[in-house]
This record gives sequence, structure tokens and C-alpha cells, in this order.
Amino acid sequence: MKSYWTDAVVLRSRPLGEADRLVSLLSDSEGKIRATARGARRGRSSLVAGTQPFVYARYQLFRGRELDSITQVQLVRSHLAVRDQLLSFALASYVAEVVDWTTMERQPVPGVFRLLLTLLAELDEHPPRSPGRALALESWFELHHLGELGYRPQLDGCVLCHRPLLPSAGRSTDNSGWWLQPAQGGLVCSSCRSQSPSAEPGVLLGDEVILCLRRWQQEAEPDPGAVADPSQPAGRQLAAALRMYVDYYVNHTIRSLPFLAELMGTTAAAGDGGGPRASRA
Amino acid sequence: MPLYPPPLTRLIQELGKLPGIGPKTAQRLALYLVGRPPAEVNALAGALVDARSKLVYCSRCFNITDVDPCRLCTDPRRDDQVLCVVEEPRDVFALERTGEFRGRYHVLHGAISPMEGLGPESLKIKELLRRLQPGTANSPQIQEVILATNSSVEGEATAMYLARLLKPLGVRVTRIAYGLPVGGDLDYVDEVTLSRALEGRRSV
Repeated sequence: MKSYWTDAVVLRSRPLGEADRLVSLLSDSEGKIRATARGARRGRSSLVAGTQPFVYARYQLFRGRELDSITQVQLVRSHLAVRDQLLSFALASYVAEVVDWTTMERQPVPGVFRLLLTLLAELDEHPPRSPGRALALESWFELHHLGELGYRPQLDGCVLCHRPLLPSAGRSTDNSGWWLQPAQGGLVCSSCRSQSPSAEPGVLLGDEVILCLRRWQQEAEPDPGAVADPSQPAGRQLAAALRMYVDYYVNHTIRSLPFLAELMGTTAAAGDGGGPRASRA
Repeated sequence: MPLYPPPLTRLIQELGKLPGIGPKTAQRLALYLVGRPPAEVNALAGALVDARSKLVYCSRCFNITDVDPCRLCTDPRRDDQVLCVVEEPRDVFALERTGEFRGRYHVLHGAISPMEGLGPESLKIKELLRRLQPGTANSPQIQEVILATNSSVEGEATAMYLARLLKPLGVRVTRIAYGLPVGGDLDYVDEVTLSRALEGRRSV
């Protein structure tokens, strides 16, 4: 069948030609789809609203050789409030860009689709009132998104020597701290880290951050509404660690990060900047 | 052996660099042009060269102009107290076609689009703030700034960002209204526009 219907979220939408749009959709059944929407920049087109970023809709598409084309749209949820608040907009832009870079065309990722919808619904219903809240939601999304892609960080103990992490605290038995290193796939204890000085530096995590990450990982059903805001230093440490982790696996500059970081008052640089950026494994 | 004579190939290549012009359209336009009388083609070439050499951006409003400051900025009949902020020069022309707005303009040259790497620093926002500083020679009496960016997600974000910057300066900041197209049937209007139209309803 050349024509098909699918539920999808608009990840990205950019002008094309005189009055068209080139749209990146994340569909529950088709994975990522790149499609054109003819006339979607004309005010009276029925495709205008359905081709705006972050919209969740049911699309009728026509399969093309390279690009599909959108022929009909039935809005399911416009996520209108995401457009009405700068922090929500910046966070949704960042998340959509990360999803765009980490998903493949025609490879369904239902977990990522559900996670994205969950976060957009949260931003729509409860826009973050503070940079700290936005930072917590960003980190929460990043951790779950990495898990959905198969890059779930190991947080039970050192991934190199397998020394366990005490269940109730983030300190190792020698009390010298734990480092999150994406290339190793999770936490590394201080002694293992000191034995491999050439490795990427990673980010030193405090107790509160490790406990927060472990709590999020243990959520049976990801629920951003239940995410408690960490303290300001912990929030910044979380953001630094997970941005570094995402950066490692995306291996591409996330262009929306500087704007988000500006609004949050954080630095856009991923990781602690202690060494050259690692290449994708 | 080349498919076209070299001058025709060059013309097709140059036309193909224009936005929205693909190889087929470039070929069609080139073949059309070489079939026109020389005077007509010379007039087109002259217009292209003339436009490129004589047009600049106005140093006040950043609209396209052949004199700096532009005529819209120097027209004494226009209202100095109202400034309309738009994304692109073509938006100025669209608003001027309405004949309803008699204030001044400021062209941002884009909208905030984080995913495309366009942040506030890419736009003429610093220049806008400079125009609003008290005592500035350019526009000393601005009382109201109308944010007339597009109603796209990027246009909305730009308007919100500007509102955040401008409100502390003590000027009245307004946003153009959303609503139904004139002559349109309610039944055919999308849900987002209809929601916005309901939000922005007014007493009659």
C-alpha cells in the first residue's frame, strides 16, 4: 500500500521551497519518517497545525522514493502550552533533537516514542516553573532515553572491578567517590580510574546524584510527574554527567543545547571538559 | 561531448543555485531566457545587477532599502511611538500592504530556532535593545513594541524571548492576534488556530 496512516510526533519541521515543509516524524509503528507537507506554510492549509514541532497527530502519508508526503492530519494533542513557555520550548527542542539524532528511519522504537510523548504531556500540563525543575526533567529523560536505546548506565557498582556500590549511599567502601564514564558504560571507582589515567575523565558523582539516578532507573513506569527536583548542585552535576553521556552516544553537536543552557543558567559543554571528546564506540 | 553549449550550461548552473529551483526548472528557465529578445534579457540582467549593487540593509530597522536610513524610518508622517518587530523584510512589505500600520519597523532577520542553531545572538536583538534605550537619537520616544513574528513555534519562542527582555524597559509589549482567516469556515479551521481564536476573543 502506497498510502498509510500512522500516529506520530513532529520532531523537526523546516521550510522547504515556496510554501512547503520538510518534517521529521517519530511514529510509533514506523520509527522515524522524513516527509514533505505541500503547502503547509500557507495559512489556509489543513496541514499547518499538524506540521508544527512537538505536535502529536495521526498522519496519512504517501510513500515516496526518498521522502514520504503528508496528505492528511488529524490532531491528537497539539501540546500548545509547550509553545507558550520558553523553558518548555527549549527543553522540548533539545529532547526532539536528541531523539532525531538517536533514531533511525523506518526502525520503530516504541519505548522512545512513549517516553517522548510522556515528557511532552508533562511539559504541556505542568510547565517547569524553574530552571532546576527543567534540569531535573532533562536529566530524567536522558537517563530513560539512554536505557531505551540500550545504553543504560550501570549504577550498581564499578563496571571494571565489580566492587558493589552500597545500596543506600553513593560512596565506595574506601569513601573516595565514583565516576560516570560513558565509554565504560557506567560507574567506575576511584582506584580503577586512577589505574587507567589515559581513559576519559568522566564526571565525579556525589551521593545525592547516584541515589537519584538509581531511583529513576528503578521506576516501573517512567513518570516525570513523580520526579523530585534535586538540590541545585546535584541538579547541575546530573546535567553535566548525563549531557556528557548523551554527547558520547549521539556523537554530534546538539545545536539546541546552548539555548537551553542559557535559559537554565548552566554550561552547554558536555562533561567536565577534562579531555578530548571520545569517539562513538 | 557536452550536452549544452557552455554559456547555456553556465546559465543553468547559476539559475539552479536559486532557492526552490531544481535542475529541470533551471533548464526550463534558461531555455526560455535564451529564446527572449536581447533587450528583454538585458533588462533582466540589468535589474539583477542594479538590485544587488544598490540595495543595502537600513542601519536603523534592517529592512532592505536603497537609501540609508530607509524611507520608512525617515517618513515624518509615521508614528515614532510604535515599533513593529518582524522576522523578515518580506513581513514589512506584507504589513505595508494592509495600509493599517503607521508606526516604525524593526527586522530581526530570522527567528529563534534552537534545532537549526539559531539562537538570540543570531538575530538583530542587540540592535533592537539599542533603539529602545532612552535618549537614543534613532527612536527616542517608543512607547509600544508590537511583536509581529510568525505564529510558528519559532516565532512564538522569539516573541516570548523578546517580551522577557523588553518588559523591564518599561515599554508596552503587545503580540499580534491569532484567529480565523477572513471568509473562512469555522468547520475547516484547525484545532490549534481555533483554540487560539477562543483565547483571544473580544467583546463586541
